[in-house]
Amino acid sequence: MIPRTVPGMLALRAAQEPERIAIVVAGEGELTFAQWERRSHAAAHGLLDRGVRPGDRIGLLFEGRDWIDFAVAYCAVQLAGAVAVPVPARLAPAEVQRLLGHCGACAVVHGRGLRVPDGGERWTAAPADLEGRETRPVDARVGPDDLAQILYTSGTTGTPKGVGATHANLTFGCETRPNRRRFRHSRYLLHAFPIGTNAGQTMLINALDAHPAMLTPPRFTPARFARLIAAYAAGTVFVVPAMAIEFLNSGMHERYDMSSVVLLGSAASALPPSVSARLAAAFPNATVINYYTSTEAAPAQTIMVYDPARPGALGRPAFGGALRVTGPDGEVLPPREVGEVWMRSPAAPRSYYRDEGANAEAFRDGWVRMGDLGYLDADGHLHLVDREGDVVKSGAFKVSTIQVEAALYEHPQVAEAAVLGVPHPVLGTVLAAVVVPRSAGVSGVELRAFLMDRVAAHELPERVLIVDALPRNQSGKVIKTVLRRLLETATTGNPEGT
Amino acid sequence: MNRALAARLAELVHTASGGTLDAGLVMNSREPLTALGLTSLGRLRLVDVVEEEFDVVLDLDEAHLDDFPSLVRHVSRHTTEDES
Repeated sequence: MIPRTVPGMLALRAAQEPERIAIVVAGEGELTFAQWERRSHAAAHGLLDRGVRPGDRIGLLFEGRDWIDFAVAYCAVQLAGAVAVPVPARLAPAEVQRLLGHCGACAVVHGRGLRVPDGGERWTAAPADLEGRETRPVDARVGPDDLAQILYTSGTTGTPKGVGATHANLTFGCETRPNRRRFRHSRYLLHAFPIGTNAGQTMLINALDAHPAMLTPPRFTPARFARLIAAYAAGTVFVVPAMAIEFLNSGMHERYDMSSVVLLGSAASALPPSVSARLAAAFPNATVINYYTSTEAAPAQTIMVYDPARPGALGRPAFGGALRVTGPDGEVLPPREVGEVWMRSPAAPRSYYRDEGANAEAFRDGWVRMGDLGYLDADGHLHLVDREGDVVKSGAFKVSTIQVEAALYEHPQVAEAAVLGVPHPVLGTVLAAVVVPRSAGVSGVELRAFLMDRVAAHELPERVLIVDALPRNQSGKVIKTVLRRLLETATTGNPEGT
Repeated sequence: MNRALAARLAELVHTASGGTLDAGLVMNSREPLTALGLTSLGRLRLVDVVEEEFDVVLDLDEAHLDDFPSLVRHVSRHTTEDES
């Protein structure tokens, strides 16, 4: 029988293949399934000894070099019946604090050298502190309908929202029969998704149930990625479009052997058709596949094998999920008409944690609003169209322009600020800020330095333009199209930027 | 500070920034490279070009990438060690 909880999956795999390598972090270490299970139980004892109770939320703050400790801590939390809250280490301390406060985390388990923002009653520990001598299996009292994890995302509006998923949701579609495991064509599955993102969590589940070992560099760079593909003869590689573009631009695929790759998957946002074509050429033996989902909708997804005849298509729903496009009144639109994209999960759907208002907006009758505009073609393939919104997608991340504006307004010398997405050749979109200072003398460098403590690296405006006034319409709303023109003019007039 | 090394590293920062950061400005800077305008993408390009040219390992999360003097110190230390 297929286990329907994450600890159940770990127990089964550890029994089937104890000595098999589950995770490799390049230059850092390896973890077998037996080690993963033994260490998780030891750490779960540590959690229980410290008073963790079923349903408690435990923050997990780890950088990429600590994937192994993260995997141990994640399963330990769930073995203790608690809820894992993986927090991206790239977030600004104030944001980490806010997320932990929102979900009421009682503790944070963290990686090497990471400073956890002070949280009053909240205690902190590294996995090594939790793993004592007690290694008897913890009597895990966790069921498929229990909450397993909360992941924070910018959602479709702006304020970060915690997306809760049950064990049944996370283990949906897992294949545990040894001869049927996913990606059987590969010994290694390479990715560089950050911990705390939906794509990263998907890779953790892959490590548990798929055939290949999960291989990751502590951090992505094109050269490191290329070296790993060649050194491990990785068969399956997952990227986000921004990594794919940067990789192709670096020319690394011409310097290293890419022939081992048979599946190249792209997630998080749509691969531009020209990039799919370049990937197909750079990885001559690979099938290029685009996956479209969201933190809210997973495991609902569309899957599209790159088809030059249908270059922009994102595919049809997979694994029994469903897809629809609706108009302004919620009516289902016919093919080729643009509207809101919704997906229906084939598994127990996810939901926002402690946010009923947002739940009502994004989750309706089993359908999940994707926050994207698009249309279906005559064959039911999804196509997305651009939308001008307060949430933009930069690289793999959803970024709220409103949140970055709010951070700018915290600067005493900022009178007015507007933040908007501008096109970028690699990341798709990056942020630019237009600021009206209270007095002369505030520089872009100073404002960026100020923001560094308040927003994540990917939320930092790439450009900061200082102006005398913001263009507003009669109702006082900032006109972003005029701002965009201002930025273009400034670029032409001042190649150094600001 | 080894001026020849610093000058070369400033050029690499200039390249990694896609030409937006002036090498002279970088040479004399003490502010965080991120504040100067080196983006996350620029940072990872810098890591690749520096690792390749000087055969050192840079950690994207560590202090040696925070500002230009730290970068020069880190690379200088490692290249000197190799020679001794």
